[in-house]
Amino acid sequence: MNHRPILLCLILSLVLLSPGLARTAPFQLDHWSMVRQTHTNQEYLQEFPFTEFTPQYFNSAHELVAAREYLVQNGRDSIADPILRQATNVYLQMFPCNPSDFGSYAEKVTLGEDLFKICQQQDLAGRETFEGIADRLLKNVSYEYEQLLKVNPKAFSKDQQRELADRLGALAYPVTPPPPSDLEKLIIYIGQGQWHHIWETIYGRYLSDPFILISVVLNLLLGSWFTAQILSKFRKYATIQKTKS
Amino acid sequence: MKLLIISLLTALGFPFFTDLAPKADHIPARPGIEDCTSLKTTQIYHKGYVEWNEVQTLDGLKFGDMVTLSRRDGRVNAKYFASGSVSSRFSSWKAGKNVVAVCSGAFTEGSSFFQKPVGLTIDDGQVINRVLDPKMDGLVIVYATGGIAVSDLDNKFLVLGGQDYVDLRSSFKYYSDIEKRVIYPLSYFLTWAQENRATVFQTQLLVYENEPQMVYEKARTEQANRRFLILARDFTGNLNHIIFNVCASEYLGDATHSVFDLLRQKLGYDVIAMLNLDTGAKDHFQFYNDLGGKQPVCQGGQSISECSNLIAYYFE
Repeated sequence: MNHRPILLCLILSLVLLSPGLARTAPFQLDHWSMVRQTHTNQEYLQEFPFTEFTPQYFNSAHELVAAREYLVQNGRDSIADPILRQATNVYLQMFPCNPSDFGSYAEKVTLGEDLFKICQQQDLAGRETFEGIADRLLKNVSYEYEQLLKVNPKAFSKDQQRELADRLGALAYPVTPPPPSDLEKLIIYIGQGQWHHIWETIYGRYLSDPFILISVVLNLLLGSWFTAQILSKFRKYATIQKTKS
Repeated sequence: MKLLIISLLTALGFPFFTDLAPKADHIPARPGIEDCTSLKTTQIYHKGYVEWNEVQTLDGLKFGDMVTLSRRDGRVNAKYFASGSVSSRFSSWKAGKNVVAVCSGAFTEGSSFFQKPVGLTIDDGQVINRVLDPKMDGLVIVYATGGIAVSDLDNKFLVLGGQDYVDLRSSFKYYSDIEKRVIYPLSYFLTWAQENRATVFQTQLLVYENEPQMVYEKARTEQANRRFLILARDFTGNLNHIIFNVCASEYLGDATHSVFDLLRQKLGYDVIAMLNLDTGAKDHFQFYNDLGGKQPVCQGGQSISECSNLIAYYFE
């Protein structure tokens, strides 16, 4: 007798019924609100499930707009904006910027960009609400990112750093990037032909102290002596090879 | 006796005694109006609308330059360049204009490769930096008409065109009697600034409505050249904009004290606001005479091309 189909069904039903693996149904604002139709605004606000609402509706600007529209059209217009503003705080607590995850910064910038775009199509109250949410998100990202760069200037790749700085700057949340390394500065100054500045920096940093100056001169002398030695060895080797051939 | 020996040894070059010499915070404060400043030279330009004074200490040393720009009849106007390549913007703007003075304005931060304006910055209606800096209590609005208005953010309310009050630092909404609706302050202000093509920046407010906004003795951390933008009414009630350039190396508190006392006590000005301008790495100042020639005043150390922002005055 083949037990294989029975075994398969058994495993499948175990997996589906397992509470740890069963997927929770996504939060539906309309379903949740229907049940609380008779609630006063204060009761509604007190019971509002921010931790369930936030992951669902902060995925995109369109979801947030849809949520606000639903609240306004269903008699919750006076508390729609406070709910969304409070949800923004909850969102930032639940999904803070993670220094090891570039995406945690970029996704908030994307949401801010979309909200700024979308708010132009809203009424005045909606525009101020979505601008307020975008402002809260982008202030948080620019602050967190600037703090991260102070501690770890090499956080994220150069391209990622440039991307974040450009996008935040374009939204009027400029971020001070980490200062370039000495080598990068040297390349920039050579490119700009700022020879005087290069000399002044080298002199100020390395040659103004007599001990360092002596050390540099000795090292240069030693270096050139070694180079001359190696070159003469090569020359000798080359002439020997020539005479042999 | 001990002090005498220390002074002698220090003077003779015993470096190990130098740390026993008086420290910066023990140096007595500048004595104030009695022996600080007096006007030495005065010259009038642009049909009397512009006045230049060289200011000296009573011991004959140059203290600074004071450029007084009368706002009566609206003939001397201000223009602020808050962002972008300000030197080239200034060059193309000044064509055909009678420029009186130009200097660096608000503070910036960052390296020489990237400059970010400190605090809320709007350039001709375009928002450059939305983030209010909590340390900068002066909010300056430069109108397209050439006028300047200053608000004290610590006093919480900013008056918009004398009509409405906005607490910019508040993230709470409130009901506006003028708008007849609930508003969010910063959003409301930004919308207003964009619609009115206003130019806005933040800086340190040193004096507001004749009240110093600092304890002079506490603002004594670093000596440097200073530059102030002052809005003040003279005894006839006329509004003047004053650029006061302090050439002497001074603590911020002492320079503020000296300049405010000179204006208030000696010259009888009603000081509406006194603002601190940047004299750091982007320091630039130039004053022009009637013919557009550069006057030999204390100039900032940097060329105009180094500046991240500029405040310019012109006569028309």
